[in-house]
Amino acid sequence: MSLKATAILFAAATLFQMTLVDLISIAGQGPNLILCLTIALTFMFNSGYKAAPFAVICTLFLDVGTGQYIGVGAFTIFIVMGIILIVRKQLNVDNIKPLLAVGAIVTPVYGAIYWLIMHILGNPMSFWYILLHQPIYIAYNLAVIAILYYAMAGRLKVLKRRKDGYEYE
Amino acid sequence: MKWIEEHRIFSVITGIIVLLFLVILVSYLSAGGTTIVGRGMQKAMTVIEKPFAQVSSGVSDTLTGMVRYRSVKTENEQLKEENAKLERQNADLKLKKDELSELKKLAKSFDFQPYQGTADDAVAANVIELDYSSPYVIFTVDAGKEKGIKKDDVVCNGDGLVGRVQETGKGWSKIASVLSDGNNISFRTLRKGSITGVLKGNGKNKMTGYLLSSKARVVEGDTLITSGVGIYPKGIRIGKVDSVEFNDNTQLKMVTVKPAVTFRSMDKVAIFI
Repeated sequence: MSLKATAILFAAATLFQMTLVDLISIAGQGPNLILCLTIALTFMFNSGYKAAPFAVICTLFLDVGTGQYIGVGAFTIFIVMGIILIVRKQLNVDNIKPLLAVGAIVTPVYGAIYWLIMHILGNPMSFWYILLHQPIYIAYNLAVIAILYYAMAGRLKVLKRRKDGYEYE
Repeated sequence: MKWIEEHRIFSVITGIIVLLFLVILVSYLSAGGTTIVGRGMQKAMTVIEKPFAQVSSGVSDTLTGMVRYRSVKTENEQLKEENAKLERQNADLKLKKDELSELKKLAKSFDFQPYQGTADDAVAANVIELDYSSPYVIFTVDAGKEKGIKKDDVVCNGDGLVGRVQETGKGWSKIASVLSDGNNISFRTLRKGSITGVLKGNGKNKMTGYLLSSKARVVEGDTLITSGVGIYPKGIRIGKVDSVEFNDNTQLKMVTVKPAVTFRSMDKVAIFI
């Protein structure tokens, strides 16, 4: 995926995150569009790591607008992205099922890291509170990831390689 | 630098992490909270979000209305019924309030001498019929002989003298008001009891009369009360002098009097039996 398209997608995700997500949220919980986009791009594309600056900047932007401390979300998403980059090497990146599995695991991991940093900074929120809300977040995020997968699958470019036959860019 | 060039990816990752760590640290040290930039962004986002929220709310209301059509319809009918009931109650209360106000006003009638403290001798009645050719010159009330009313009983309301009973029957009485030209009323001024005279209605909306003494000084605005001579007891307010003229032919001082009673808004009267 081109950098331009990636930038547009992240900009749209940021805008929707700050506006439309509140409207579809249940009890204040809605999908994390930037996290979903980061998971989908990083997992599906070999050049997914190029999305890192956009993900970090957009999350930083959200932190400035809505977060208690600036940089916590950006730091967390950067760590999560690293985890996905490591994990994807062990999985079949052509299939939606591993993508959804990664999405289902990464969502609570994101929540846990976020909570840990906030806890260190003195936020009194309990870990159980974070855990209790994860099912709804996971459900929402998986739905968005699935939509992104089907929307972006057609953009995968097959690079023919003599060695193993094909590879996605 | 060479090491960084050789370990480019590691250096970039470490650089980003350190940078973000510093951002968090600065934010933490500045006591967190939303910055000026953050508040500005929130404000901008609120402006953008508003139309989305309105559309979303409209869609949500429409969908809710479609899904809950039957219950909403039933609820709507119940509310309409309740509304109609409340409107009826409101109208009743308004009528009662108006009636109470009328009765309070009427109660003032009993302050007139000699009726003070003798409310048992008075009958309240509603005006039920008017002669529209000369309204309130002659009118009918809904109380009659069954309540002890008889001819020439005095009729008042809270403002003053209304007239006298001209004719009565079972359930009705015809009142000849002070505006009637056949109704002679002996008066005196409230200011000075020695100034006396006789009044009668002009058949329209005022009374005319004369002073018994041509030397008596009556001025415009003087309040006139009944003198006690004739059928009307002493002390009932009749009205105020509107104009005073000297008639050269009769050598009498003529007065025009505006009645104390506002006939147009009169719904109830008290008849002293």
